[in-house]
Amino acid sequence: MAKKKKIQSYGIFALLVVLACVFIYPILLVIQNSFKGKLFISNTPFELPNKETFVGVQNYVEGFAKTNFHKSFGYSLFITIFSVLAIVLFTSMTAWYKGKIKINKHIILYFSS
Amino acid sequence: MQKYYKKYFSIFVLPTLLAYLVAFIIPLVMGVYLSFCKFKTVSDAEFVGLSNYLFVFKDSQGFLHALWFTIKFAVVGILSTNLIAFALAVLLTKKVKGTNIFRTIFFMPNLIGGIVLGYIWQLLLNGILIKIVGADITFSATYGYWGLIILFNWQMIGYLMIIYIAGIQSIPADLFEAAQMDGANGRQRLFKITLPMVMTSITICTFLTLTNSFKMFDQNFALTAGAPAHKTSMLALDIYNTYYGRIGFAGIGQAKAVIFTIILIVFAVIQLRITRAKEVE
Repeated sequence: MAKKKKIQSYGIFALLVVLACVFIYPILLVIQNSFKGKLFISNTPFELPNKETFVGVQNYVEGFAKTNFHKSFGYSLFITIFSVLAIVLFTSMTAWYKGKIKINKHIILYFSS
Repeated sequence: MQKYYKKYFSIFVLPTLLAYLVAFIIPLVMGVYLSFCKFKTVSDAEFVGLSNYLFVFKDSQGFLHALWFTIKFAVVGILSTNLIAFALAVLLTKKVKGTNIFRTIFFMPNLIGGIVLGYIWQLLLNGILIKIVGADITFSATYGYWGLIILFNWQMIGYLMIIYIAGIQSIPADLFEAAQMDGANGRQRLFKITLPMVMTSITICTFLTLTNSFKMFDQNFALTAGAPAHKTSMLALDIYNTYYGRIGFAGIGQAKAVIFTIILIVFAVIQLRITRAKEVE
């Protein structure tokens, strides 16, 4: 009985490993392709970068320089920080009010939360 | 006491209420109104009655096709994501080694945004398809359809799995012990205890997948963009293309959006009714 259970648990483990590989492969593929020249990504997407196709961190450098990445990142950061602050503050205030007062006529408030 | 608090209404509730009005109520009312109008910008709307709606159902714009495609996608998508996620959750609550690592890996795709996801899978699927059949994903609507299904599964399974795991872990252990004492085998325990006890999670998960698969836009946009010939465009993408793609069609796009909202609400309510009825205390 114990032996059977052990085999079963190894089977589950193996299945999970296979599934995890399937799940993580696309992410690894993107990381691998980020070191290749532009043409080679669409021609040979599944091959590891070799001497011919390897371009080092050039893609990263160009990406940062050409697309104003730092600026966009700044916008995202700004919006995230201040919207989260505002949401947490105002919604908790409204929730406090709702908790203190028996609301029947302000039924619209239930939709807003 | 109640009166004492009432005077704080303006400070505590008004900001939220205003935001709700500006960001939800007013656009909703305006959107419904504009669906009865012919307009280029919001300010020059001219009332034309029901003609926008009539035009939508004449099917020259592919709305009905998009609706059918979306329903096909939603049925297969909901079933496959929920089944696989539930199976994974059952496996991962069985005290296997490295459960946390597996959970992290399965959850990871959910952290990637829709557009990026679409491009990742476009690269991968195109690579495979070109090797096998010598054509890319835009060649046939079948490829696009299954590509979208795979993508949706990959994105949603991790998230649903987490919900199912939480549901399974909240089942009291003595239920399983009692069942084991009574001689219930593994399958009986799964179908007679686990499944009914996680019915609340199933409600949440089917609701999430239903609304997400109907509202799907960025993945569709990035993976196939409707190719070939708008055959793989889902409702949201179809609305987007009508609204922005053709001049003078803004009103029709708006009408499509209103119909889309109503359909989604109807489906969501039906789904909630069905799954709620199966929940146990």
